[in-house]
Amino acid sequence: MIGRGLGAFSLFFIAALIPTLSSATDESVRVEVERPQLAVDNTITQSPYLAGFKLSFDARFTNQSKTQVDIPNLDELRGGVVGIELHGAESQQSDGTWRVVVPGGTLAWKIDTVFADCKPLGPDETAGLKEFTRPLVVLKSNLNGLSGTRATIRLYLELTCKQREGKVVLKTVRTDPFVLSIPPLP
Amino acid sequence: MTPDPYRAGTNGSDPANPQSWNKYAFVQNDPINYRDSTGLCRDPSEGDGGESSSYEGDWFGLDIAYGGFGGGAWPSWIFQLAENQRDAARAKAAHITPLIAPGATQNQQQALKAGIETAWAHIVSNANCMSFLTGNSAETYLTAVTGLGSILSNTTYSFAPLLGGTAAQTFSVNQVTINTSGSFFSPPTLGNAVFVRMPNSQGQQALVGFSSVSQLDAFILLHELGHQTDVLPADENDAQNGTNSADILTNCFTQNGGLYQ
Repeated sequence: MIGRGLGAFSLFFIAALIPTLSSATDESVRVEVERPQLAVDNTITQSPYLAGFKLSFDARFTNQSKTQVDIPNLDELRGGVVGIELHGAESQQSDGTWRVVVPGGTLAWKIDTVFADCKPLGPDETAGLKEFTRPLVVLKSNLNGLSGTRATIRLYLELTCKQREGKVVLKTVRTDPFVLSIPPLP
Repeated sequence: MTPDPYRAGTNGSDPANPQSWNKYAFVQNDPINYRDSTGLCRDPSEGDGGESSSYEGDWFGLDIAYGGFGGGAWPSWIFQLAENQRDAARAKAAHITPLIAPGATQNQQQALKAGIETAWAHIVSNANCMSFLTGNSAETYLTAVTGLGSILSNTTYSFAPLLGGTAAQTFSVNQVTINTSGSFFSPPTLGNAVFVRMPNSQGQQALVGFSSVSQLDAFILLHELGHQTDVLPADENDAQNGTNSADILTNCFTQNGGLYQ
């Protein structure tokens, strides 16, 4: 592809960079989002290309498989303990397809990261998380058509927890779609 | 000239900074015959006659064994480039200056520049890495260097607190964001070495060590470059993320004492 010259080269890559996060996620855990709120936070980044937000929501995790699954102990998620992290976001377009708003990135945790212990969730069992709040950084051009609207969004969450024998396990789960008011950018 | 990481610092060289291995690398180790009038790299138009053998030993001012490429394992077509192509390739390969979005601190800028320099050293000195990042489709070394160099030179790097364990994200072909609270800014863990936890393809975390922070940062930037060139699929989940990281480590890095460099 590089031999085709830079013009075609760039166009090729731009066309190729319109992926979806796809459905290759763990389906054993259903995640419902409640009371989602998004607020502009200008302190998050000074980059003129990026928009900073604070995203907060409640979440309900339900084991919809027939076997027990490990999720992070939600009671431990305070004081910097890591267990649930935002990994990406998509918005639904008018034709029903999904478009990446926040792509997944390279995962590499610092060595001193403290992970929550795993907690088993039995079949049909539910666990709740209140007021989960995280900074959210979005490329401004990815907000075209979304800013100032109520958009249908789904999030990708990374569930990370430490099993009793010390092994840290990961699971990428996708939330059910929910409606989110996207504030206009200043 | 592959540095011994255990002797780093004793001779003034820094394994994360290939330019420091050779004080005259900017003029291809020949300060008598070449000039650096711009302060950036050797003047491309001068003194090309009768020095082709020096390219083989010191390609772009970087020892060809750098990155564990194993002395002389370059494909022969690299050395079959015409003189003017070599000059163009060398000019492209000599320096990559990243575009940095406003608001970055001096420390962030320095870390990025060191990471870019180390990443670029992997690309220009390791044919496997270059070939992988171009999807094995570049027609010549020159087009590969030009293409990858063009992407890196036209990428704007921003800094912001990103999501969780994310070290960096590729937002578009020319927009990459580094997590200000992520592992890109990890301090050394043991001596110069730094360790991070990364996903593997089995849904678990693996402990991965690098010989220096610049090598870790180069890995992160090369992972993002793989997305920019569309060689790596989107990091849609932890398993794909782990597979993508493994591809970068396998093609662009070697291990020494269990540490990637």
